[in-house]
Amino acid sequence: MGTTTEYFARKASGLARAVSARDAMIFNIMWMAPLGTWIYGIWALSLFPGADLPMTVLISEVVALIVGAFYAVFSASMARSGGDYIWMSRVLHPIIGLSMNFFFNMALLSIGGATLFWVTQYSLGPMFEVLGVPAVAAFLGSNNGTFIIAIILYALFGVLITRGARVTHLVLWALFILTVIAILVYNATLLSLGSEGFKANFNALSGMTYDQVISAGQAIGYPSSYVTGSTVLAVAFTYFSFTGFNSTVYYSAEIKDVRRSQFIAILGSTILYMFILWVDYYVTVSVMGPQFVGSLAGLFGSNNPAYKLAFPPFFQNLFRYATVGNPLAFSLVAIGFAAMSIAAPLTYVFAGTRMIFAWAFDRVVPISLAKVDSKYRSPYMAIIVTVVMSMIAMVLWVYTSLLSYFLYASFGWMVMQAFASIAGIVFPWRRKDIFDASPEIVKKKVLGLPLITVLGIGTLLCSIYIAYASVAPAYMGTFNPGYLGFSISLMIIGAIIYLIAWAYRKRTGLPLELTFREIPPE
Amino acid sequence: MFYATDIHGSERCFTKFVNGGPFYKADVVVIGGDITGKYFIPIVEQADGTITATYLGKEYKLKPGKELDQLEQRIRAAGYYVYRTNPNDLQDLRNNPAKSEQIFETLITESLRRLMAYAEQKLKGTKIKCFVSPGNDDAFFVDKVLAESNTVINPEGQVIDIDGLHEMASTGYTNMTPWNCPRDISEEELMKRIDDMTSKLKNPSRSIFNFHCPPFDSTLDSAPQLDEKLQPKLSPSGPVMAPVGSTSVRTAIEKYQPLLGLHGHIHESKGYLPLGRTICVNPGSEYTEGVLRGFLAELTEDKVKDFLFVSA
Repeated sequence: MGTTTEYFARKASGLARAVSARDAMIFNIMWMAPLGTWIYGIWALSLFPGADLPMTVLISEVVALIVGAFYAVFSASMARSGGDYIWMSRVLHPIIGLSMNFFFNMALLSIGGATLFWVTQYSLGPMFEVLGVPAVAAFLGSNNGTFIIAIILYALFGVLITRGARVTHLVLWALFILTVIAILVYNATLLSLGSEGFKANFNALSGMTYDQVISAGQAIGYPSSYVTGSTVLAVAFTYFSFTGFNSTVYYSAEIKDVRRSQFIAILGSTILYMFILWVDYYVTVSVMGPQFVGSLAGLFGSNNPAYKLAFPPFFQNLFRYATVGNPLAFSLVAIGFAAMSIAAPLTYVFAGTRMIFAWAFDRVVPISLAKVDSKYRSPYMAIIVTVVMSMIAMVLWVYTSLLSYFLYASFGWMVMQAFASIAGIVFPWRRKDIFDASPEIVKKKVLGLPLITVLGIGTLLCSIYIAYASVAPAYMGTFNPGYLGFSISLMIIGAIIYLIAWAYRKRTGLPLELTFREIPPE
Repeated sequence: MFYATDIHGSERCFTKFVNGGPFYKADVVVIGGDITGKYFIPIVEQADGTITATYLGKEYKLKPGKELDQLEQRIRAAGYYVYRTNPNDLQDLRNNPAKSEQIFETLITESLRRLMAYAEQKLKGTKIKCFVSPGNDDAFFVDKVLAESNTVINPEGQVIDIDGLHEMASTGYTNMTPWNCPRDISEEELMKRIDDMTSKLKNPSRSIFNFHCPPFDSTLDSAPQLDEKLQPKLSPSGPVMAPVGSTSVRTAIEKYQPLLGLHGHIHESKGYLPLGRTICVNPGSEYTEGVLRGFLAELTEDKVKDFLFVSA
């Protein structure tokens, strides 16, 4: 009830939810892995020579706000756990909802493993190297070391999520604070050192010189100034790093004052993320120099022999040249990066448990997966299944190349988003009863159309462009239909699971589609 | 069987519930308690004929007609009652909040009569049996209003043969809550009420327990612990949750092992739990959103053949 509503109450019972708007915003931020751009930025410059990274952030924010507003508005109308799974199931067809959501969950649980490599090999390993503990650094840098740490972390995630949503969010807050400390230390150190200081340290310690890097970059044709075309193309790449700002829709039922909170969580996270990303990019290219960073990216990306650093030129690695004689600053940044890399898969596993829980309640997977423990109200069976699946994915990551088939997961994600946007576009007509009962903001008219339809159209266009871009040769090199087929196969498996459940329920007398139908209110 | 609960005055949820009978082809539809709302919203007729109200953060100034009708419909859909008044009476009410009790009784009675009439109109000519139980939040005058209906049956305290195969024992009474609601009673009293009913069961193993309160420590009964000011107790990890269900209900279910335990009371504890052979469910409640959460069960003579949770 709004604070300005005048009402009279009688004595009756009432309850509370566990997750606040701020908690939800932090969840979205950590899902987006704000320091991941220290890696993505190098990839983007490698693929799109001359791209103006800070500018791509600002343009991506516009796209994120459109998509974010769409998700927030849809949430205001159907504020149920399961998010776009529920919307697609109720508005389009449950088979679409489950096939998309099944793909998404499988992709998330698998991709989470990739992030755990960052914990060991991109942050803590280098930290111990700088601290002069090579044995630990070597262990963390090895695949076995990564696997052991990842399994321990996944087990901890399971225990943590079992303790409930609030505890999970408290841990995310702690990891967020460590991440923010890393951001502050990183940018403050670079700014206080300045370009000349960085250049001098690089020249003294890298085995290359600053000018050699620029010259080698020019030799491979790296542009000496920003290129508008590259910047425009790189927007899609930067936008990928934004994805996840709407992840709180998957557990709406656990969020206090959910309609208002989703607006804060979704739109707030895109704005905060944009700010972090822009500052990181701006400070990095200002202090290190855009051509220097771009040339390193270009040389590294093309395996050019002129690239002589012993590690990839990701921002946190280059940061060691800003922290000569200051291992504390390097360590704080490494710890923050590790914290972020732990938080991201934690959010994936958390959301994954909620998705499986929703499937179980819809009876498309066994109802036993909806069992909750009495003390913490956690869906322990869904948690066990999710954690075990994540661990299996980790084995595949570390010891096989099978999960490279997730290369086009971004494409699948955008296909899912496109279906969600179609659900939003037709929502006012397909589910008129729910639409009519929705808050005013959902029904607001823009250009003669309901706001949710307009935002749905905007989201659909963005999704189509980014889906196309994610499989374009400019991004991924030679197009591999097998990789794309893998993502599509997962969607088909989701559809098959639905059909099996549907056929089974049909035999027992309660058709599954009843779960998804709305009773006419009149 | 179609079961829903805790609609708390939401007329939208009630109409969906009634329509759920023919929609799901159910033979029996049951509301498990807490049918009345908790708030009324003053709609104030000003001296110049305009109508003012504040609702969900928005101030309304309307002329009588379609817009006002729509606002009232929205208020009722969300489980609030509409109270037509004028500035003087409203001020009097603000000065004497105790007067609101009488207003509540009038508004609840009017609303229930409207809903009973709707059920009679919609279910007339069908063979659907419609049971509406009061819950612990519902005042006792509610029973009198329900008794006026020719279609809706109030099963409180009774064992009723619902289909020639299954008996249903019902009570909306619960163990004590911090709010001392009208039908809060001690565990001993609750056990006695339940024993009175179960002693009349011909075949407990084929019966259904329609008990508003969920069994203790069943995951269907988790609620925040409250302090003396009725605020949730907080720990560093958030609200302290505790089982608040009834030990009497649990004892009875474990002893008699009915087919189904239909429960509600704790809106956010949607779930299911097998207790022995008994499937206990709480479909939860989202009445403020106009969303009817429900539970569908297909029963054979001596077992639950299948069930679905629905959200409509």
